[in-house]
Amino acid sequence: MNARAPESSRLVQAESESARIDDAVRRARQGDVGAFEIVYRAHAARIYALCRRMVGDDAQARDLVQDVFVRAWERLTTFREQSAFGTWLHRLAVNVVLEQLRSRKRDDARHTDADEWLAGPGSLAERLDTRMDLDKALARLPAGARTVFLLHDIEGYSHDEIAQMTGIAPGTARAQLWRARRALMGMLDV
Amino acid sequence: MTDNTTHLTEDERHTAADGSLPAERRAHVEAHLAACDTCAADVARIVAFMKRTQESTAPGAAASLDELWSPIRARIEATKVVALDAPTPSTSTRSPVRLVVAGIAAALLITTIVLRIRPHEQQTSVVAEAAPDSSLLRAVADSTKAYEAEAQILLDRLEIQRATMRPEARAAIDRNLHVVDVAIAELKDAIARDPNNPALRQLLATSYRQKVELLKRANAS
Amino acid sequence: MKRLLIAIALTARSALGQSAADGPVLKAHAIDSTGSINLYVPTGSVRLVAWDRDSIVVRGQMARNARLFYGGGPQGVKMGVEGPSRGDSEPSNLVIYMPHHGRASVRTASATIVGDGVSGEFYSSSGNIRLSGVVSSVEAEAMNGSLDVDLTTPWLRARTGDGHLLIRGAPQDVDASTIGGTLDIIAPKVMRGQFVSVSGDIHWIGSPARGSVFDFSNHNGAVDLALSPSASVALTLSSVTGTIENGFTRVTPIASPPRTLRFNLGNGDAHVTVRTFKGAIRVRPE
Repeated sequence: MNARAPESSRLVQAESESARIDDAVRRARQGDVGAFEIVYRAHAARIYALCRRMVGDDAQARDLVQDVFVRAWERLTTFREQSAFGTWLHRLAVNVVLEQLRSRKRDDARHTDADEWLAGPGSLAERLDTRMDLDKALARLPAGARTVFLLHDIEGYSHDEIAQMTGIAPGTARAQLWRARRALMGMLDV
Repeated sequence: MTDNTTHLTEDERHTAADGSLPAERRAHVEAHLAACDTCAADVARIVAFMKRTQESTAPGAAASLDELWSPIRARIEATKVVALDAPTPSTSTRSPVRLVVAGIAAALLITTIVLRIRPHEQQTSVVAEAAPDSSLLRAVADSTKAYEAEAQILLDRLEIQRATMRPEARAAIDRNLHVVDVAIAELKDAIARDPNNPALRQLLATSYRQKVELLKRANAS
Repeated sequence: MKRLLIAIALTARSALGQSAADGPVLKAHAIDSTGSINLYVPTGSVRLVAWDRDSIVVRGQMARNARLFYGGGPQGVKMGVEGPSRGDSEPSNLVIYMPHHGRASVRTASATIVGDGVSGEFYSSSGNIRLSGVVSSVEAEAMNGSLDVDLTTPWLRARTGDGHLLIRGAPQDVDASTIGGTLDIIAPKVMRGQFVSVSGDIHWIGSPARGSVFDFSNHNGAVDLALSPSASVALTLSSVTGTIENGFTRVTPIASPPRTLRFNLGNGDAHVTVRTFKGAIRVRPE
């Protein structure tokens, strides 16, 4: 028996699914809303996960998922098919969430949330009686630190990319990330 | 192993843990980690934390994301350009000429017109009256509700910001909001008298979209 | 690094379009050809000029007691004018040269924005916005400032409240709206157009392109289509309580509201739909 057969059939299935979604993107760009629904169902979970982690609230995340896909529909003509659609959509989602966070914070010139660390990073490292999962711990971080942590450690953006997206200096982004890690490690008893 | 009295900086520890240490610093940091239990243990903790982060799965609720598609679709449809012909699902979106699909209601439902046609005139059309499509009316109603909810959220946020706005900016926002709100009120009155008129509902959805966009601009200013 | 910046500035001085009238060089910085610029200027003016160099040069005159904050790297720059207090900002006038393939995100309170060949997002509360040139896409919004866009672009989105919105040039896909301001469109290359107002009048002048699709919607402002005599358009006009005037043929809608009129000019190669609540609809020869 060929031990590689199951893997190869999975690969074929994955490729065919990828081609189906690429085709749906192309048709959606021509105005086919039905095709855009296919795109939505393929990407909604990942976009929801991103939004949920960035804003820490289920209801807001669901609103943001709507905003992301409506904006994606409006901006489909700007999608250049040389890059992966998922990457483009992900980037657009990050921008939508950051806009939301910025409009709440109303400070798009500087983005230091030193005040939000209360008495200092040590004060956020609460010791809890029960272990806290990562999402609950993330929700306790200040918005700016949570954003930087999510974008770097979970979504894989570089410090320079994060700086560009959020408008903060790369050095500030790095410092925020170190503090976020320490705070989370404290909350999660790592 | 012995502890060094001078330890790694926070920056060095984190970049050693996530592999982003600059090449020129690597030898020094690795040598220190080999000789310092304290720093080595701390870096190992950070590595363990990052591994746990990577292994964590996305929050649940993927199944319930299905219900988000209807309001998304309603918002998309509310922004579409209307085509003349009543679209059928299999043909409406494939033709390169029909780059946009019919709006939610008005263009699909044209009342009967009696026309006098003379030989030297341009061609004109007589369109038979069609019954309102209830699914389209529901879709418009859904999008209106979604816009109402969104407008209220934005208004609440705007209230918080009003105190810090320049007076001219506040006045401009209020002026524009008044114009839109009057239009919305008139349309709602008209819909109350003629609830099955899809043209009115589509005009209402358009006015709401204008309001939401205006409030977003106001919140961003 | 300093030598590089001086070299960029010296080279920049000789580049096309720059002049001493732009003011002294405030910043000069190497940037990727697709680098982004995020800019805030409260009052005064900002002019952005696209050029074929991988650098950004900022020239101009800063307001007294204002400071230019500036940061970023090769992929993007964030900068702006910060005065002692926002409400009391004196005008600063900046001219920014940036790569043609870059994107700008510009925000002002009352400063005017002028863009020449620059793609991106432009927002002003009460300042006017004037954009021209060949770009990849533009979003322009003002609360009550006026917008004048003369662009060749695949995609344009423009919004204003009670300012005047004028669209010219060759945008292909246009989404434009006002609340009470007048919306004028003289752009025959538009292929998909959505034009909306609440109480401002909308005027279209010219011949819609073959295969194009337009949607005009107005609450109580008028929609006035001045079409070329050779226009080839399929028209659907409907108003709940407003009047519909057909200046091309003798076909008229029924006398009592709601009124709808459909007719073709030529072969009906473009599709135009107009809907109003009580605004008048007029279709007439240009």
